[in-house]
Amino acid sequence: MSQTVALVGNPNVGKTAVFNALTGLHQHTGNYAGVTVERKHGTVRQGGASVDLIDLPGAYSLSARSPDEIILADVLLGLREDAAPVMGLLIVVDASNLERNLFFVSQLLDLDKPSIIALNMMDIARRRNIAIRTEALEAALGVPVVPLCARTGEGIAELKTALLGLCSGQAGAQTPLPQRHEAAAKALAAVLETHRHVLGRVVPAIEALRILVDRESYAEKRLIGRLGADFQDTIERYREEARSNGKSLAAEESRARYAWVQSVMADAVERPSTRTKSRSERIDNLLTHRFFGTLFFVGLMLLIFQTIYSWAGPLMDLVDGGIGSLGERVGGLLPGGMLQSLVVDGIFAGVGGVLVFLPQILLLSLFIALLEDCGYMSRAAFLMDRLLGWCGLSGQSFIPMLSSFACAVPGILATRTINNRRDRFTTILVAPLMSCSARLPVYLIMIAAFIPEHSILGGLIGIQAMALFLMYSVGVLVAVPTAWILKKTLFKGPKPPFILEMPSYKVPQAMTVGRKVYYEGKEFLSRAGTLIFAVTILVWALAYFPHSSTIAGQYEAERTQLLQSSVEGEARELALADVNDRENGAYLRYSFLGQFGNFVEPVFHPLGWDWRIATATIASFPAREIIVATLGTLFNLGSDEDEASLTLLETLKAATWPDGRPLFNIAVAFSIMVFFALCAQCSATLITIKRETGQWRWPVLTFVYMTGLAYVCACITYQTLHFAGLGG
Amino acid sequence: MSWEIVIVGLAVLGASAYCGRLAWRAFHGKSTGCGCGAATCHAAKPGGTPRET
Repeated sequence: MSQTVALVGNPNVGKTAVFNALTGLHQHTGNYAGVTVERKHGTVRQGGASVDLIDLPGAYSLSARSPDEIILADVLLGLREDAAPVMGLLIVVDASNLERNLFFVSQLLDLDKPSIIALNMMDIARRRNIAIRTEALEAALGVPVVPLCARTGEGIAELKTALLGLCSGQAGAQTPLPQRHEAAAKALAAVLETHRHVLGRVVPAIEALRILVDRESYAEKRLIGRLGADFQDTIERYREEARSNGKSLAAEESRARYAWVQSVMADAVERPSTRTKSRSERIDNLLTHRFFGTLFFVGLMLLIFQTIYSWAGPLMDLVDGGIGSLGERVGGLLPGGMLQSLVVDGIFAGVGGVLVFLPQILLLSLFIALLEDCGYMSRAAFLMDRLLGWCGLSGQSFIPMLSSFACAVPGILATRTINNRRDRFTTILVAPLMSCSARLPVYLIMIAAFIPEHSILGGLIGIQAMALFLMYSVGVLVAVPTAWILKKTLFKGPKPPFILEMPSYKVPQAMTVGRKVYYEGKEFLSRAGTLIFAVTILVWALAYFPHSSTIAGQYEAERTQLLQSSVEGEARELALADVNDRENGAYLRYSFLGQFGNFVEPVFHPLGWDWRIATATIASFPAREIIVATLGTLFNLGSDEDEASLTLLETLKAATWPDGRPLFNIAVAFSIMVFFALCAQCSATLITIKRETGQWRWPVLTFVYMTGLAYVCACITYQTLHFAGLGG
Repeated sequence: MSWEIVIVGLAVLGASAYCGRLAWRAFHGKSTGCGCGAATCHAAKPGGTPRET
């Protein structure tokens, strides 16, 4: 049977690249039982021998607080039943940043397991003229060291050979910690030995040490949970024994470990004596500057939104024209009636209306992927740390929020790296406020239809791009006070410390960027072809039936009367068109959806909406993009057949109230956009919140507060703009 | 026409069944119910860059 080796290391040291290079296709992914932390394991084979490799979450230390770190510590200590006991460690370190990585290495070597150090990113270290004497490093650490570059495959064969002989190898050097720490840890472990029958296991000295040093850690809480609150006094007594002159145990441990790290570095690493600022550091002087950095960020975002309008326009027209002509042809092949209405008013007007936005979605995801891959997004997180600090969060929360600009689901999953429960839950509750790509079609259609095409700065930035930027900012601007309120009420606690690595700037890789854009486009099309398609059919059916024969008879009689009258020529055509229009309007008004819409219309009246907008909004609670499809279906069903060939933009512009006033204007457009910016219209997000928090009350709270906030803000927006004369 | 009713009826029934299945799976924790093919649902990598698969 193969023995299990754990792959461990700091985040962003290329652990996944090493794992992939070693295991190739022999890998499996799943979750650890009861938690949503990814469980990835694979097999390393060479000749007849094999080793099971388990990829553990990246961490900076063994202090377990976040779900990721708890899994890491538990697997290493052999406390998880769903993971095989770890016989050895493959520790991946960043050769270009060895000093910081060695802190965690020193803790891992204390676990007393056979280990290998994989010295990854040697290419970057060489480029920076950092010389690492591998033999000296091996001697200092007491374990084999294999230099490699996982990206290019350099050193992977040597690592594989070393790995297959690992479990018969030896444990590494132990870091000399303060004598009092070790004595107190041994004494606590001895006390815990007497509670073995309650704990069901023996607690090793290394775990006892972590309980003493890491105050309020998961290990301490678990112990108190088993042995009762009274045991806290025992822990405190040993903490006092370990402490010297009132100094913090964690600070003393750090000092001891970094002293060891310095001695290892002095023996094994040679760095250039004169350190010149790298190109990345010089660029960062400007891009992380409090004023100029923020100015650059705002300017860059404006430019991206402007480009989305300028570049995507022709492509959008092309898709729109294609779908329109296809709809007309298919509609022409079908006999007039129920099926034609389903295909033309339902499927083509609905799903087709959503597909038109594919070029913009692809462009936006292209820009986000480029910014992520070149390393700029870490700088944006750094800039945001100050803003988030004001509401009691750190830049650590910005990374999940940033992911939420594409989709809130991966954004919420990314909060697993936040170690404080209060901060994690606050971030989960505000992440859905970020404007995801599903909101983009709503913004684009409202802005294109009702915001004038003027431009400023000599034609460089258009008013429409500024409106789009404003809508994207609404989410962030509302998230900050919301997080502040949550941190002052439900999740009271101090601002967490934040460590952010600034990766060097690099030229984005076409493959990585292309893959991200491809997945974004694929998801958008999948949703259009599945959920949106299905909901569109249901909305059409509810808006078409019962299709009363009384209404048909009434208008048929009116048409016959008109044809028998003396009215002729163009006047007769106009009168017939008017009858058709009123007939379609009557069918829609007395449909199931129309009756429901009339019932709820008073609720949405203060927002400036008629029953069609209100119904389309309610129908889009499962997923936001549905509103575009629903508006397409509702406004096409309620219009004359000749108008069915108009684009959705033209149809919305032509829509009126029963008294003939235009339905849409700037105030209504902004009220719709603000509602969609803040409302929790995404079942996937709510289900993910339930899965990540384990309780229904958090998605319920998210839904209630976001929907309430959306209604109030949309109402204020409409009433203010209406008062300012932009409401018609 | 009867064949029109059959096609429309089947489309509406199929759409209802699909939406019902999505909701059922979402409620029982088998998917997020978004119908996106779940590419992003597995995209968050613990420890490392959030959107890297």
